[in-house]
Amino acid sequence: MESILASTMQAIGSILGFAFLGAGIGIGILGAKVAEAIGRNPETKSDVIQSVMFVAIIMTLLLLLLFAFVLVLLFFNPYIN
Amino acid sequence: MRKLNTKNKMTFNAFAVMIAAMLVVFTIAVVAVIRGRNESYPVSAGSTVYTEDYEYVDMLSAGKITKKWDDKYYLSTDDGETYCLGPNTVIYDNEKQNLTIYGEAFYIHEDGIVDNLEEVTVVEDMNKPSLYKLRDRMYVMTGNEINEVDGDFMTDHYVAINIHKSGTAMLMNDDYYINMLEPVILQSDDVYFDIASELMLYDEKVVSLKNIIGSSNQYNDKPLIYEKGLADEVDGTLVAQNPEVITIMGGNGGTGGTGGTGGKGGTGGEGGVGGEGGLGGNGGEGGAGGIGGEGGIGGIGGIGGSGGIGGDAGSGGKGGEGSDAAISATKWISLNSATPHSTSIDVDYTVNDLTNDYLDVFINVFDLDDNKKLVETIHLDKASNSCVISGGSIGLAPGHTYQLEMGYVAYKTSSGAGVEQITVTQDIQKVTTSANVAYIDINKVARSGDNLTVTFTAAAYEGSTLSGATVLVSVGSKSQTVVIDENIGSAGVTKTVVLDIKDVTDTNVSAKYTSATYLGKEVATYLNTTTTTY
Repeated sequence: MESILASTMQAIGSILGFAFLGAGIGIGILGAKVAEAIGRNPETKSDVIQSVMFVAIIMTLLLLLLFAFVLVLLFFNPYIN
Repeated sequence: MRKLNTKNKMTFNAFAVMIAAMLVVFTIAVVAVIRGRNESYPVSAGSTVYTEDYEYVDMLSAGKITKKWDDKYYLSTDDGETYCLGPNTVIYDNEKQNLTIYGEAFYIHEDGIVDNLEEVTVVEDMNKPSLYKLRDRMYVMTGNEINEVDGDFMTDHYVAINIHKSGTAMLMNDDYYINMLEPVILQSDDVYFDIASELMLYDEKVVSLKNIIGSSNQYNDKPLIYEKGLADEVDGTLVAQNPEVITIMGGNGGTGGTGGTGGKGGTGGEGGVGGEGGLGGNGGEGGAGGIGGEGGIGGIGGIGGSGGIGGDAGSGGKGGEGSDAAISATKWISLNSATPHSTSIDVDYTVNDLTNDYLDVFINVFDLDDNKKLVETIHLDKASNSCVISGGSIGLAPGHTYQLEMGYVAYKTSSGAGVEQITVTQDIQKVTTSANVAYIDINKVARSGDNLTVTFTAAAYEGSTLSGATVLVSVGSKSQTVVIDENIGSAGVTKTVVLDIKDVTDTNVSAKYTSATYLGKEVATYLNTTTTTY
């Protein structure tokens, strides 16, 4: 059981680490592109923000799903008991 | 700066609300899970409780037990004191007159079957002679009367036993808290427990309890139940059986060494002291008395004593100590990888079966392109980690998708159903064999009037050999068949055909196998057409 727990913790660490790394890089690039886009065409600010918000909502949902999965691994691990 | 429009503001608000709602749900879920894990159990005042270090806790007031994140039980009394009770403990409630085991424990049946106990177990009948193993060298024995064989210790209902590595033990219950200075046997009706050797004796059957999660017990002397003649010493001791606990004990100590040679006999004793001189003769009669005779010669000294008997041979040395670390072994199998070739599949697998529980480990090969037909069953060598699947008598076809199912056959023992043989499929993998068996290279195309000369090489990929093939060379509506009735290897076979292409406008020349035999199987359908232009 200890090896399963150790593997689970390792997996959770990797999952969260890579997820936040990806999200961080993605948000960084997105923010840069948004600033460029609005700077180039200020009149499209509302449309750009609208698109960004849509992306943000999708990403939030995915991260929450990830957290739910991590919780399942932590507290309802099917390989334990 | 441009202002955001109303739609954007609404999106921001909706996003904020959504995030807040999800955080609330998330928090509620986490709190619920943690609360569920922190379920507490009340403990009455006056209960008999021992800490993780076997210190007695004087329960002057009631309290409650909770299991914390470190999987240990903690007692919090109403006095505000907190005690760590360890990963499992036993508590006797004087008020309710019941015994509760907290944490995972093992209940040992008389026949050696072991039941796993989960979390909290209230011992229903304390008058029934029973044994529970809480952890390494920690047991609880119950029974109407529990007494020491050939000893003075006597108690009732239950006793917790903490065995020291030397074989002595601390016995604890609501009446006693004593250290036994010598190895002892406890008896409750027909159940005997040889504490030092961790052996249970019931109905002339001896069950070794050391193999339940292992034991760090270092006591290696002859078990007391044999010394005292309670059981006949036999070669095999029944080991506790539990389908969920597989334990490899440290090896038994080696046989004691041969006794040393007896010592040399002692030096003979000194000769005895010579006897006293004889008595002088009697004086002569009358006359002047004659001169008295001389005293006799002293006797010869006694013969020196025999040398002492050689000392007894020394006792054989003690057997070496078994490894004290019990190894929890998990048996498992794994299909690591399958590398397909055109008519074979290389398989890497792992079988970890230190206790040799698997009767058979196998791979079933199903052809998914042929109604999941079972092509072959391979019985694996447990000591190896690779094998080659060739499809047995049926063979594997190039370009087919096969499903490999790795499984094992073993005995399953359970207290309810007895022993049964089970077959379990553990790993499944799909793999497609390579369709690349052979190819055709068109080397040269030369036109001379209405004739087109095509030179091509039919070759097989490295490692493959076709045992004959038929090649169709075509240009537009004109074609010609070439039969190659020799083996086609990686070096290839070069052939030349001449086609009459009068009235043919198409400039594409193609060559393809119309039939080819590879390892006795027709494989042309998997081969590509080669096309070139002139």
